[in-house]
Amino acid sequence: MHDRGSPASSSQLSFATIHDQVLGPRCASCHGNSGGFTCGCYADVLKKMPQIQNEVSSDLMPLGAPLSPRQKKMLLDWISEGAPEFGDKPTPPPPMLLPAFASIHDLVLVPYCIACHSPGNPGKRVPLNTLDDLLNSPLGIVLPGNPDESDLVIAVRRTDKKRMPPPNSGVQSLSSDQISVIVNWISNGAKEY
Amino acid sequence: MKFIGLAAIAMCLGMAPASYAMNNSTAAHYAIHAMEKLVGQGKLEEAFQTAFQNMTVQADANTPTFTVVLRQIPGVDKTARAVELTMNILGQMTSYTLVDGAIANNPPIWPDADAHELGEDAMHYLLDNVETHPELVPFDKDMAGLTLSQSSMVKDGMVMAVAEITSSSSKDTLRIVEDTSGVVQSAAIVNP
Repeated sequence: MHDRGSPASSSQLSFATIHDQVLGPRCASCHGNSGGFTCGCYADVLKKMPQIQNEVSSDLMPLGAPLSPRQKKMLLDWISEGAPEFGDKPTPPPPMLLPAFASIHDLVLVPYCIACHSPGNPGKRVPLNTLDDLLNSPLGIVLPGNPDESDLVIAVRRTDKKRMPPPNSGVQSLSSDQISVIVNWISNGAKEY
Repeated sequence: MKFIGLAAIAMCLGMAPASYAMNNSTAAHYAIHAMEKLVGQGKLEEAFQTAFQNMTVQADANTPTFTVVLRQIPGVDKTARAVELTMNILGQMTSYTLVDGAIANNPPIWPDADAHELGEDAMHYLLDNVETHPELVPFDKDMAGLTLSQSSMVKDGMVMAVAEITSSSSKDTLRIVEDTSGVVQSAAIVNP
């Protein structure tokens, strides 16, 4: 493992990249200023590295919803490369959100929703992890062809304190572009691919 | 056609999928969510959440459906704005009717969770605990209503909420005290 601030070997991601694409969106809601360590602090992350590696590898963390395959690979590759603070590998562009369930699952539901809406968590009665969860809920979470009646769209469009994700969750609201993709996906039948 | 017929018979016999098996409390719980959705769509005014006071639930075994009425705090003329929801045995709202009434008069100001969330959290307590506390079964299976009010108890300077759940098969009342965030502080079955 590199000492803090030491030059990185070539083709390594930096801590800033890992923070922006993995730790910030997926860990900061609990490990922002509490939860045992601050995921925005490189020294804190180094101290907890074995635990992070173990718990992420075995999908124990993040609680309720593991990292997407892409995020998990990024983080574990970075750790296996010595977890450098600085790297010279170009930051990979974030994947583009597409109107397909797999894309919406990985880029919206996992980072924004599933930490609560999964078994054992506060939103356990409204699970959002599978396409079946969305299509077959009594609450009409996703009604193919009808985004305006779909609870998923109604909830993320709200701007008051009832919006999803809730303002007090520490998770930011969806962007209008993200909502547009979800609306487009539902309008076109809410297909898996 | 044959499938539709079988499905209809299955529904009439109450053979809902296990995960959606309906009784009064689950229907009431889904109705709370349905009301929130209607507010989110702008079909009902926000006061159904902020000035929510009580709900009643009634099963119609013949249809089979559940009728859930959610009411706001009454107005100065003692009438209350309400919404009547019909829920099917899958927990889906199939219709809603607005019942006119006066604007809620002086509803309590809840600083954290609103009145509707406090009612929902009380329902969660019931649904979460009924499997391990058989004494809650009458309130789950035969829930008749829920009324939310301000408790006489205070936590951190905040007046707590109390939700009272009644049952058509018991004279007792399930009394659930919550803090202003909706975290349950105590629950007790109270004899009349």
